[in-house]
Amino acid sequence: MSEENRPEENHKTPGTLVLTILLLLSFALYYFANWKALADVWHVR
Amino acid sequence: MSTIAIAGTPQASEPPANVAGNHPAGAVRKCDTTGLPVCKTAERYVKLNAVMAVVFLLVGGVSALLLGLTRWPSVHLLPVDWFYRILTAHGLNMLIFWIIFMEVAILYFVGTTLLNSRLASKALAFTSFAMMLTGALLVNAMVFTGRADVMMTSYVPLRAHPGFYLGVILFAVGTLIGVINFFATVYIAKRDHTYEGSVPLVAFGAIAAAIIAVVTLLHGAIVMIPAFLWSLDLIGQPDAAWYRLVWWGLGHQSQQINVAAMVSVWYFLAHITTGAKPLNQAVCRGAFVLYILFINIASAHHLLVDPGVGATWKIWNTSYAMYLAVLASMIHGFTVPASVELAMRKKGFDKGLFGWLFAAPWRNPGFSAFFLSLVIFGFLGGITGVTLGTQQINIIAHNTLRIPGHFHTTVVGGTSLAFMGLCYYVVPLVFRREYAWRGLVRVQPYVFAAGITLMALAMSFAGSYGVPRRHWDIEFSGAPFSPGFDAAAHFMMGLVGVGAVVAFIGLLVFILLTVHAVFLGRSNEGRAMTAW
Amino acid sequence: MEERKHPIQRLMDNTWLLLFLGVVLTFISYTAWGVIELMSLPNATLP
Ligand code: HEM
Ligand SMILES: [Cu+2]
Repeated sequence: MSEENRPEENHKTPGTLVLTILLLLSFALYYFANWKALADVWHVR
Repeated sequence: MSTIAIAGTPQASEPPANVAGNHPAGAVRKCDTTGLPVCKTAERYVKLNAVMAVVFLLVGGVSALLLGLTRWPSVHLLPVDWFYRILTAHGLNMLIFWIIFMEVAILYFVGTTLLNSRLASKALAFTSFAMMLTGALLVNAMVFTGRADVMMTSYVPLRAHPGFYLGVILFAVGTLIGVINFFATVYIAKRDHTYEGSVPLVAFGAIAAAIIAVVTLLHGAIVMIPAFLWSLDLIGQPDAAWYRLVWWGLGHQSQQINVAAMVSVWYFLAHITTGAKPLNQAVCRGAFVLYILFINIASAHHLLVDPGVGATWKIWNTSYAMYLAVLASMIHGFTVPASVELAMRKKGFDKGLFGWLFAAPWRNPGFSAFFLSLVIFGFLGGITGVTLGTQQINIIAHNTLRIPGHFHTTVVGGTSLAFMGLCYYVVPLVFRREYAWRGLVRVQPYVFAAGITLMALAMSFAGSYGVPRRHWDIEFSGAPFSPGFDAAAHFMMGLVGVGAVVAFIGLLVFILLTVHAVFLGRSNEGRAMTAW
Repeated sequence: MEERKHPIQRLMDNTWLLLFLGVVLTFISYTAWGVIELMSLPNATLP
């Protein structure tokens, strides 16, 4: 097993984690906005 | 216990175990900068393919400027027939010729240098290159003489001159031969034990790209050969729905070659610019396997409004199974920056959440191009792509400018920008020439990224107002009705033009600097490249 | 050493199996299924 595969305590990457959460939040927002836009033009009666 | 261990996997920069490799005497040199072995045959074809890539990038780039200036309402430069002609030229020269010539160069480099092997066949490399070049020239000749105003998709019943289809077929078969040469190299490297354990991660990514290329090119053959025969009146017109289905097996999947190749380039650039090493080899490789298995079926997102295929087929191929490929992208999107963060923290840039990011080598164009590519691809390309590929949402976006808005963040802000960053190492390391005007090189990635981001966002917003893609005149001048686009849509189309001009400047700077470096740059033979 | 490799690791080291799976899965899920859908469409009744 090579060195970088070993789970170590210095494997923490909090900055990247924040970036990732930011990405997921923007995705959720954009995705929701698009469903909303769809609902606005597609009336189900 | 059986774990997913990749024992002894050589990192890209570590010299492989069998230092001699399988090179015949005199056919290999040692890189003066990295100490890696360079196969001289491969090196020649890396150079040839890379030079042609940049030539076609220039043709596509000038076309891009003309398109941007035409869709800018207050400029509206080209007449209608030339708009569609140039649109055809732009799509093909950029998406096919620039990208694929670069990718063949990458495959040859990875197959030989990273696997410490000789290139399997000189004859195949020559045949491949000659066919690709002939094909690309033939296609351009047909397009620019007005015999193929069919846009790059060439949907039947639009019909081009037979030379157009022949050119595409030559190019595709040439590429396939190059890919076969790569696989043959992978085969002899393994047979000759030129490396130990598993192939390096970057090589694994390249193998994934090559596998996807095979799938792509098979679809290309299935669709283009009947179209060619039809253009010669030898057979009847292929069914239009069938054509779209199989064509997108070519058109979409070639984008997945780009994704796999781009991610490999990210790993490569992250490694040489910051010393980053993949966090977990098995996870990164697993993500590439997900690409191989599941990414291609997403081609179905191009047919989401086609009446011929049913909802089950659409939803299965664009969501359930495809999300596994999205998962793979999210894995890479996490591990690549995380590996950079880890490498930077190890170097002591450990302050706060983002100290590592601020301290990153932003003046190194290899790094800035890579990281901007990652951000543009991940944040803009990924988010818009998954959304547009949702069946229900697609109906409000299909054939609007939101689509070019999306793919200019993936294939341009993502792949093309990453490839530019790669060139900032390929030219000093393979051509062994230094870039001049290094200050200009340092700002180039920012200019290009800014321009393309502005243009893509403006396209997306304009598309949200319903502005169609591939449209010469959204005013419908002379028509008895008014389309009534919002004033904001017109404003956005102006921004499309501004963004296009800025991106073009970035592109032109890249081409001029690279061509200058390749032909007139200061040689660094015999010593290490000047560090960025 | 060789025998203790994880099956997934073995898959990842087997370029040719990956090539085969990549081609076959796409052709079944996208291409063949899609063509079957198109072929099972009734002909249009328009003139
Ligand atoms: C300076 C950079 C670039 C600019 C300013 C630019 C601009 C444009 C514009 C204005 C369009 C027309 C959109 C429409 O009216 O429907 C377009 C289409 C397109 N571009 Fe680009 N582009 C650039 C680079 C690239 C690159 C590098 C690629 C591929 C690697 C690319 C691929 C495409 C494709 C595939 C189309 C669609 C063609 C079609 O609809 O048939 N572009 N681009
Ligand atoms: Cu696609």
